[in-house]
Amino acid sequence: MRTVPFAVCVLCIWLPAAGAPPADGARGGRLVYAQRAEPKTLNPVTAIDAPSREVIRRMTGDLITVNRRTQRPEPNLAESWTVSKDGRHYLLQLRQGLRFSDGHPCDADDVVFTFQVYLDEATHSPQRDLLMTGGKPMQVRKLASHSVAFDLAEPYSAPGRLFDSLAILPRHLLEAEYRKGRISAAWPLQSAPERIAGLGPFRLKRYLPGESIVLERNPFYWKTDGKGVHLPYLDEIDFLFAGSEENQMLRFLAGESDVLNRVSAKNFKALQTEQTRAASRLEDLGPGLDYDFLVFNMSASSGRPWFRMREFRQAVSLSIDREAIARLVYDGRAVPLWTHVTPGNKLWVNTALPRPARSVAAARGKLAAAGFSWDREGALHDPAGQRVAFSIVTSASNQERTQMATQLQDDLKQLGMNVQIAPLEFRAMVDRVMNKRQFDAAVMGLGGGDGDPNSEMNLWLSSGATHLWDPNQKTPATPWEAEVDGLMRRQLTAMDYETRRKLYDRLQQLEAENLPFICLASPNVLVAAKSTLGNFDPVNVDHYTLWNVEKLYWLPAHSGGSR
Amino acid sequence: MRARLRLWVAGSVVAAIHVLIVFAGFFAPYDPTEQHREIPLATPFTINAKGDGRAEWFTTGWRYRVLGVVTCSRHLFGASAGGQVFVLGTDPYGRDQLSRVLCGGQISVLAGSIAAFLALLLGLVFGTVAGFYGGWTDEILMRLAELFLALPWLYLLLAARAALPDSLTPGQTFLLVASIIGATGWARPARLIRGLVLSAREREYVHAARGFGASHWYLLTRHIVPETWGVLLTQAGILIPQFIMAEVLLAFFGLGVGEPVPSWGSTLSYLRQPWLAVTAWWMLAPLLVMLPLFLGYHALASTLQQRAAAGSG
Amino acid sequence: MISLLAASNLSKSFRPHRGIAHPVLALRNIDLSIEAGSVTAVIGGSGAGKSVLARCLSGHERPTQGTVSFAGVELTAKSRPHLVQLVPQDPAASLNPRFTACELVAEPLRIQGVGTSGTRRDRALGRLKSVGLPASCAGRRADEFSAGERARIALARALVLEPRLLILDESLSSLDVPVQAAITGLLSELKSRHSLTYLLVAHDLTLVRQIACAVVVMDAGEIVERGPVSEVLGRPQHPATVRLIEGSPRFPDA
Repeated sequence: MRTVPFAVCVLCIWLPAAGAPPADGARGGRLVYAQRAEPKTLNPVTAIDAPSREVIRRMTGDLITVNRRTQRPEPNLAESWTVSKDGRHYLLQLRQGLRFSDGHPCDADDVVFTFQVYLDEATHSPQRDLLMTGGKPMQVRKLASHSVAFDLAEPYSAPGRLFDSLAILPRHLLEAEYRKGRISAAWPLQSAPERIAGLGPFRLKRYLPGESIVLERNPFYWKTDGKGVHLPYLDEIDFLFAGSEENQMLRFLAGESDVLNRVSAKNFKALQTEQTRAASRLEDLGPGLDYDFLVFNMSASSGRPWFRMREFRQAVSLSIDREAIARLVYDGRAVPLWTHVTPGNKLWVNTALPRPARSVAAARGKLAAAGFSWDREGALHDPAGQRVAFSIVTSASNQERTQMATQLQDDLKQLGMNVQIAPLEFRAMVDRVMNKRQFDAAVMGLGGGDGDPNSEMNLWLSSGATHLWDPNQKTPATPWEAEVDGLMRRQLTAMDYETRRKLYDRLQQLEAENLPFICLASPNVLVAAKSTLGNFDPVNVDHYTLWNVEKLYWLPAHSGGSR
Repeated sequence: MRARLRLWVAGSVVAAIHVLIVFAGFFAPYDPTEQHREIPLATPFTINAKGDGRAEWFTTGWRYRVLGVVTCSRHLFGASAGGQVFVLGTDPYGRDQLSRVLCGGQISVLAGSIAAFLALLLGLVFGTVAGFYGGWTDEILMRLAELFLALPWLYLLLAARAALPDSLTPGQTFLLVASIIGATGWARPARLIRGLVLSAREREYVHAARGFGASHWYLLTRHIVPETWGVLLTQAGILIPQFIMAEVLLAFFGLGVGEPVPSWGSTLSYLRQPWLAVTAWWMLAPLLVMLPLFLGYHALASTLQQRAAAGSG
Repeated sequence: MISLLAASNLSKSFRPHRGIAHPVLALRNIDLSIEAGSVTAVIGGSGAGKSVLARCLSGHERPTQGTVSFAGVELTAKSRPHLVQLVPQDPAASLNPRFTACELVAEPLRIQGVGTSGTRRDRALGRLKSVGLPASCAGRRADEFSAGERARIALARALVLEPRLLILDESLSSLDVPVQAAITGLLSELKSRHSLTYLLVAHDLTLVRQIACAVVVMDAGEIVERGPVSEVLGRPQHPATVRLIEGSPRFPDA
């Protein structure tokens, strides 16, 4: 463990934002936002689906927030914090005068209660794993009415990220449920608004089953703008259930909704009619954090010895036409990828890695050098003489990945490989890849999250469950995987960014050399909003458009946004 | 007279389309799996957009097989090196639509025909056995037929297809798809055949033959089954287009023969993205061939039915 | 007077099934002996059981009880077609309209597996000729012939296996009078040429007087009177016979 320089950091400073500082706006108006699918619950403890989290996040507050534009942690409900020298103790100071959306005051007891709920095994909260360090849950102690201490078993390298998006729960409303063991069932969609309270900019006004959820301004929200005006500017947010991306598009084109959170490249093209361009802002934010890839089943049981040969994977990677994928599948609005960290992840991408150009000849050369051969009809045979033929599974409902798979099939045909495409229903595909391991190769996509390496522990650790090419290894199967294990563990507990950066750079280098999965492309983040929406500042990480919802407002030219 | 004219016109259309499909390789200028990634979704009649090369008649090009037997490489027309002749435009991968429609027809029509043959064969066997032997055999078979009729055939098809292993070669998938469609469609022909057999069984000449000592097999093959040819023919005219449609539907949902083999359904499946239907209308090209084919079959079948009704009335 | 066909204690009952509510006893303990070379007529009211008797004797129905023997030997399924043949009630309907005359006449040979297709054809043509149909019409389909011609074809069919006894089950009733006369003449000619014995089920007593030499009267499944024609029809003993005679028109002998 390296000695950390004097690590009492008092971070109360607003770091300069990458973009323009938010303008001071005017109050009033309603924002209509069409959701692709309906939320399932309003319970912050158990919600895992994106639509639910979208709504919940606008109603709840966390102690420390990562500013999506600067990628740096900022005070939210905690106005300041200190970290101990060894990185294992945090001391957070809550703001004074905080109130929940029903007016009830919020203090350290609520914070302690919140963490008690999340850390309780019986609650089965998905956030619990994020609060474990060194295999042990963190300890939470109330020191004073507005001051809480957190004790970790091991130092954690991303302090701000521990607390981001962890909603603080109202003890006065939920403690009774918790004592009865029923907290996981609390706050379903049809709850009465007065039974739900949070510290976010909005609170629940009305739920219409099958139609919409309406949130209204939280009058007790703590944040103010530069002129001292209480945020949020908007009176209401109307989450409409559109049901599909096509419906979202239709509503936006008709002017019924005000924001399109993320659209596919093909729909983005359809948006670019003159009419829409006049009335809206269409933004191509460049690559996000998502990456599409081809992964081979490298478990010993797969029966395909070629997948474990590095030269085989390298040859496959050399023969893939990534540029055509970006062009044909994503209409040019994507970047080809050779390793999984996208250019959109500016903090962590290793730009020094080689990006070999596509060359079928070089690929064939690699295969020949590894002992492969071609017969008279051009079919590829492995060193043992067996024909190289395998199938690629994809999700039948994902048009883009199915298209990618078809292009890969054609690319690999030029190497003499006989590839079948097997589209499967999404959950069936996930089951076969993750659980049953009954597949040859798969085209999948991963990403989202916040881009921090810690979110990929399970992917990179050889014992991880989502170590897609060969999960749940008892001991690392290859030397490079052993090295990766070491790198990941060290960066988890390293305290400063520079150290972590070097470790993660090395991981990406190993990835480029060994190609555990073959990355294909990363789609750009494409958003749209009415041009009269002020402070619209979309970013390429989640939540792309509503991350600064409390600062959104309507410019005077807007006609009100009502239906 | 009008019926005869209709018969001739319909018959010619159907025959012409079948010729187009059997000799699809000759009429298709490109290999249907060849991707031209620099020119996705080209509009129809994109001919020599790049300016070099020429479109020519009677060229030599990609190798194909007629009826799976004779290999040939002559085509009606094609493009010389560097030239382009995309008569019906290209699909999102840059594959020639005309070639895909023609070669896709081979898969769809063949699958539909095999399925119809299978359904009629099963229908003939079960219907004849049920009608001839009567009793418990009849009861069981007819209840089974009712079960198959009551089930919504599309879901039955989807379920059966989904239950199959999915890393199959296109050839295996093709046979399986055709078999499933045929095996789920036997019930209606079986009921029709059964009715016919029931009445044929009671004819005097059947009794007479029996009196001469004829075996069941003799009665069935010489007297009873020949009564069914008319119905079988008409049913074929109805079922073939129906089963072609079934294959198209399966392929539309991605459950047909796998990539890169074209079929009408998979060529139409891009229309699942609504924006494509609007901006790239030439993706509807398979309908150009499907509609006349179905109309032709329908006219043939209904004319045959009318003639049969008039004949026996 | 050799007995050719002998039925002993023949009974037939029909089980209740669709259309019939109770079991019906159609034949009750019939004993019958037909002499070689005779023309025996079976007469009776409708429902008397004449057709059932004819079909039991020809093998088209299986009796519930009793035996039928030919020249002392019990008939089997194998031997019967070559010994006894039935000409059914509606000869035209018994011919499959799609078959040609030649095929129809050759059919019994084919079913019985006699000879090759060539010899079968020759025999069929020969039979057709003997019933008055030339070889030129052998290739025509059955539905292209007249009613009388179809009756001839049916006869030829019945004779192609060279049976000894021919049973005619009201075969002439559906024909009109001139045709009937022609067929009757043909029957006589065939009888003498091939030494046939006939059993005739009829309701037309004129016809019976014309061609039959013996007569059997049936009523309600039983034989109530039998004997030479002149005796039974001239001096009927049984009331059923009397009813029959009275009820039928008399034509003067032609």
